[in-house]
Parts: sequence; C-alpha cells; structure tokens
Amino acid sequence: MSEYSGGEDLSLPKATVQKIIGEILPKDIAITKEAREAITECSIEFIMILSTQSNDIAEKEAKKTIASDHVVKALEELGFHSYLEIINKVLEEHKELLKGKEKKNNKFQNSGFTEEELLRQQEELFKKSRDRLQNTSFNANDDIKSEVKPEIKNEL
Amino acid sequence: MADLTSLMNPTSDDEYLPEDQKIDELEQEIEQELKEDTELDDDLTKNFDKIKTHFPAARIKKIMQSDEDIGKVAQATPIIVGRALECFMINLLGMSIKEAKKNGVKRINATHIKSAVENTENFDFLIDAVDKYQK
Repeated sequence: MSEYSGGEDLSLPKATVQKIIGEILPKDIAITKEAREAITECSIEFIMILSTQSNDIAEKEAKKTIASDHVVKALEELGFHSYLEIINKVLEEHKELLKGKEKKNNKFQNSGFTEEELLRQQEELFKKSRDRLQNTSFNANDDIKSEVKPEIKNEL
Repeated sequence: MADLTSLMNPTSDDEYLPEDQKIDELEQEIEQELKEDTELDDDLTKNFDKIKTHFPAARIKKIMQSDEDIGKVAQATPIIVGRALECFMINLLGMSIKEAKKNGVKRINATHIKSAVENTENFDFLIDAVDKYQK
C-alpha cells in the first residue's frame, strides 16, 4: 500500500467501509476486525488496478482525461463482467441527473431559440424601450406646452 | 484422453453413442455454469440495492491520483469507480461467506478472505495484499 500512498496515509474512511459491509452482509453473518481491514486493503488495491487499467485505455485513445467509459472498458478487461449491468445503469442515471440539472440551470437552452434569435429579440426589446422613452419625453413636452399655453392665454 | 482421440478420429459407428452422451453432459455442465452465473448476477443487483452508503467521490479520486501515472479524471469517473468498488465488495464478501461456511462458521475472518482471493480468478491481483494473513 505504501508504494501508492506516497508517505500519506490515504485510505478509505473506516466508518463508511464498516457501514457498507454491514449493509451487504446477511444478518446471521459476522466479520472480524482483521477481516474488515483486509477488505479495506483489497478495496484500495481494486481502485488502483481499475485506475491503472482505465488510464491505459484512455492513453490508447490518446485522451488526457479518464472518462467513465474508460472505467467500463477496464472492468470488462479485468474480467468483472458481472458488474457491468449495474454500472451501466448507474451511468445512465447519472447522465439523466446531469441533464436535469442543466435544464434547470440553463434558461438559454431551455428557451428553444438559437443564440442569434435571442440576440435579435434582445435588440428588439432595447429598441422598443428606447422608442418608448423618446415618445414619453416628447409627449411630456407636448403636455407641458399645451398646459402652459392656455394659462398664458388666460393671463393675457 | 481416450475419449478425446476417438472424438477426433471416429473409427466406427459404435463410438458415436458415448460421444453424444459426452456432448450432452458438457452441454448440461455449461448450462449449469450459466445458471450459476445468472444467480450470482441476481445476487449482485439485489445486494447492490441494499447499499445506501456510498464512498465520498473526492476520497476515491485522491486514492486514484495517489498513483502518479494517473492524470486528470472526468467528474463522473470517481463516482463510477466508487460504485464498481461496491460491486467488488459484494463480490469479495460473497466469496468469503462461502469460505466461512465451508469451515462451518458464521464469522468471516481474514483467512476466509485469503481463501476467497486464492479461489477466484479475477482476484489474482490481491494475492500479495492478503499474503500476510496466516491460515
């Protein structure tokens, strides 16, 4: 393990490991502390071998970032075929979740207009607002004139 | 061995019958294996749904990148690795339970995990990690 951790003690959180083991094991099966530690060590080895294999696949595809598809392929190559069904399901759920978030966060994509259309709409709104401003100021001037004039006439 | 040579060089009609039987047996064996496989898969899905606790993705990512060869990883990658790890734990614990039951006990100890590693082909990479546990 020390060859990976580079001096730091980088392990999985004990409480989480313990909780997950408890969730997996049937009620009538117990486990010793030493066995729990063995499971933790094996889990770290599993992460490492899966990372290395995924990295090799990403490199072969000339990719700098390890994507989830590389992990799926790595699982296949390492012989963990039985995990794939679950993992693919998790992946799909994750993608759906991301899509949902994007929709919520992104009014721009939600509007159904292209960027150009939206810009034109914005321009139109600006123009309308400018026109309205100019019109009201003109009208205001007119009003003042028309209000003032009769008063002057009256005084005369 | 004798059956195999006669299978490749059939010399008389009489020998076809035992060969056919042999093939039947093989087919049955394959069927049995396939059945066992699906049973294990069912178990995996069922057990996976039982897991409500998940590993923090940030920690998984840190462990992944503790190997200096590992560069950037996509946002979903540590999540997927974490879930694969849960499958692995179900897998390893399932095999260890079998070993414990073989010994007639209901408490898994480290030597059961060692035996599970030794008896499972996919777990070859763990041989060194469990070597220290004495039987």
